[in-house]
Amino acid sequence: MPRASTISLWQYITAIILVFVLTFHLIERVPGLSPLTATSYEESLEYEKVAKAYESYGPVLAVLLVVALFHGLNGVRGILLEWRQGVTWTLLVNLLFWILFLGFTGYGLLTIIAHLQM
Amino acid sequence: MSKAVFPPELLAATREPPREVVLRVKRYNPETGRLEWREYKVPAHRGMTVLDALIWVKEHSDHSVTMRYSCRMGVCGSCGMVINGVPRLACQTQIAAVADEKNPIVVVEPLHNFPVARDLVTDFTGFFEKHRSIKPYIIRRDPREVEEARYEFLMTPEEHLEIYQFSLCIMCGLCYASCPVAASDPEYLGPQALAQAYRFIADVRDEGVEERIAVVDTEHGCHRCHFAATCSAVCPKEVDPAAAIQRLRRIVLLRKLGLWRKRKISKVAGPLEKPLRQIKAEYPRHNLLEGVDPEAQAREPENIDFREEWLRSD
Repeated sequence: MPRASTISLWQYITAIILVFVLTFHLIERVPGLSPLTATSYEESLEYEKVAKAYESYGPVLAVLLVVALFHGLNGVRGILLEWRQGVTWTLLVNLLFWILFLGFTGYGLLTIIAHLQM
Repeated sequence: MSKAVFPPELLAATREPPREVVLRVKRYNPETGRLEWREYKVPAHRGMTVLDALIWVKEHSDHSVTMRYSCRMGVCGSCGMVINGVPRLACQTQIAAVADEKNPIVVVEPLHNFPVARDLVTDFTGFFEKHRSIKPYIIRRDPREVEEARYEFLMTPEEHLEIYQFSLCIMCGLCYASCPVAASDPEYLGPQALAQAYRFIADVRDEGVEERIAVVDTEHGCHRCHFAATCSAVCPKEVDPAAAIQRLRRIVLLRKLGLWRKRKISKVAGPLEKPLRQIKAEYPRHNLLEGVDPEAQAREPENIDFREEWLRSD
């Protein structure tokens, strides 16, 4: 794993990006403000609207997916490393972090790409 | 007209304590592994400290109560213990500040986050190793400047003020005992060592930034701090380790981005025509404490490889 400062730096960078993309993601659900032209919160979650979001703002949602996964999983990683110590444990936690991060990122990106090709 | 405001802790020395105080001491016997609470009734007087009360117990009530103390005036940092749930120096804690007639009970425990040797005595070996790992001494690119007493480093009073607060640390361990991160992560360097790392990095006479950052920029270094700031709250010397750690993190991150470099490295005056008198310290060979190796004491401080220790312990 890289140095602790490198990971911290990425944690800060993803936090800043999250402020913007998460705001956009929440605005999607607000009637009147929603770029999906949803008239209610429930409507914004309907399949057609979500599929439309993938088509219209796919790259923004892809960024949200990657930064939210990194930020959240790295937070859990920090808690786990604080909870227990040792070489094996650290290795296990780091491995789990990368498996989950890459796995969910791949799965999420493939979902967005699949909708873009439809 | 402004009135001088004194913290209640200071005013406690002028207050009347309860006539009799009950010391509830957490005791541990390493031979039997027995852990128990014992209560002692102590006649209190104005100006009496918790350390005075413990010494009274040792003299009059139970001479087996074990605690560590030396200067009795808040300088040596030996008598750190948890008093009524807060890590404090026993010699600086007035009975009147922690007990009154309504509640004359004073609960005394050994410092948290330290292995207990016996009763109120804790083992500081790991704590000192962590302190030593950050290289708490002036490092110069040219080692002769430090090793030979022919040079002196130039430093302005303003530059000294920048590190003065952090150089007041007496290594009493109260900050470490109060730290929630040290409680969950025994590998964590801790507020004392990290504050001292900052103190030397900020020192204009020092050129060892690289070496110290390599020690603190780890999973168990400065980035592990949660900024609970309990370390600063309990520090008897108002060193403010929490602020030092935040400044250290800032330096480490800005340095990573190439935005930080030491503004000034002090120059040396000299070599002096007449070298300063250098006295070689000899460790007394008589009356050695058990386990003290004078040869090891005389050697240069060793750099402890925590990773090596860690691999061995796993």
